[in-house]
Amino acid sequence: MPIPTFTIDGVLPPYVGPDGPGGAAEDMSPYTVSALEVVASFALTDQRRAILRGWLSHRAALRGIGFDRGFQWLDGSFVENKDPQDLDVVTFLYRPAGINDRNELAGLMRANLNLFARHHVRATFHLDFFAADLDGTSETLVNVTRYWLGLFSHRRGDDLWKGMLQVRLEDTSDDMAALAALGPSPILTSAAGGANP
Amino acid sequence: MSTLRKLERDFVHADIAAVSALLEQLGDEDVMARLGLEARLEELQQTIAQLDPAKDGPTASAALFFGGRPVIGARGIESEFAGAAVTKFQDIVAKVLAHETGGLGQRGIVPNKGASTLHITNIVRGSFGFLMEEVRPQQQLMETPLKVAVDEATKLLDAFGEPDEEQFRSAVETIDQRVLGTAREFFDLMRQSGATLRLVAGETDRSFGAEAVARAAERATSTTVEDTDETLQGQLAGVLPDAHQFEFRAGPDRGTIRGKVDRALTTDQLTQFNRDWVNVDADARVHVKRILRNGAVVRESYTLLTLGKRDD
Repeated sequence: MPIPTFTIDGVLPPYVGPDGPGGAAEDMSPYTVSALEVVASFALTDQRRAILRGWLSHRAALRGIGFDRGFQWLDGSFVENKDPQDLDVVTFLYRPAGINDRNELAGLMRANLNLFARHHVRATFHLDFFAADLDGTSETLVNVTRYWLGLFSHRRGDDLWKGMLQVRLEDTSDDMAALAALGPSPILTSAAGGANP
Repeated sequence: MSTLRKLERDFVHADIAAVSALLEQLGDEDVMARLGLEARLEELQQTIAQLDPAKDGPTASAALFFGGRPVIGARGIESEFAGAAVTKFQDIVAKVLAHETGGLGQRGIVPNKGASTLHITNIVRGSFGFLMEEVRPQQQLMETPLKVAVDEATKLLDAFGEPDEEQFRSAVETIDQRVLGTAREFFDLMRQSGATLRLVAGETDRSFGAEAVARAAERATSTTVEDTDETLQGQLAGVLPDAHQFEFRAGPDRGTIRGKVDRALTTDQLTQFNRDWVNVDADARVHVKRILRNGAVVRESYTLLTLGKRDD
């Protein structure tokens, strides 16, 4: 499913196709897309490219500590026809192999607060980040999913029904392709230019 | 922007309630959800602190949301309906302002109408409506008379949708006939157009579904105001000079009546009333306002105009 075009209101549609919201699963939000498709559609400005680099970097870091299975919902002004400050990401994660109970999970997260604490993640990666545990309590998963879906499926202020995207976490090559499509960071480029005038 | 800030506050309060409820449901196992939700709650609490009502502006502001037949979701609203509804709301505000400042006659031009002008400054959705605000070239420190009038007009319209009959009667006790007439036109427009309404101003936030619109329109139609000046024989029990209130024993038929004293009488004059007229046979000239529902008097209020020696 390619990323749908914005509606007249500048948001992703909550569903596509002639059958309405009762159509095929892939015609309904959240639309499952690749990281490369996200970059191809939304890397429109320097600010957006910086956010996308932060997002891909955060995904790589999560994989680096073992959270390499799951998926993310992308929402907020980044997937609207606006100039965003960040990207809203709800991340549904399976626990890493070898993490057998809540104490080990808590220890791993505490040791990596730069990847899990919301204010750290916002400052470093330009993400409004929330993580949901796919190996946790079922009822909690349903409740937090309901909360974030309620928040993300309607535009704040006018309750306009809107769509979001879903990107899986497992495909490292997809992220590499997305990163390559973004091109080198302007900061790195300018640093390299300074060294070799 | 105080109305928008109130809407934002309501949203954040609802979000805080949702996150707090989620946190209460979490068990020991939910370490991942707890970390994120606790941070989210902290952020929302910081947001609400920044939206302190004490920092709301002192100028007038009201949001009118419409739903029902004239509205297509959050996309649009019938222009003729929208124009008429906004005009009638503005008209009510102008008359309330004139009434509050004592200048609204029984008919004719509404005085100082320019001072009541609200501007449409934004479209608010969910479903569809307008933010109407007082636009002033300079920053205000004190609440403006127009803000007071808008909040008063909103409270009044709110009362028409109030399910409790007694509360409605209390709220309209001092309503002006012309304000009532325009409120009737406003609710008739809502009813005939099949519209629903949400009205937000000050701390008032009232939603009128179809049933509340029908109730409000029926009340506005069946309510009438009768204003007369009468002379009552009796004795003054006393006045509160600063509060401008009086109590007068008007004989066995009427009993003891209470009410406000005309603002034209000074505090010094009222102090003198207490010296000269208490327990003395007198004629009280009073303005009587009667609120009638379907022709029957449901409220009677008095304003003391003058006191004089009894004409026997």
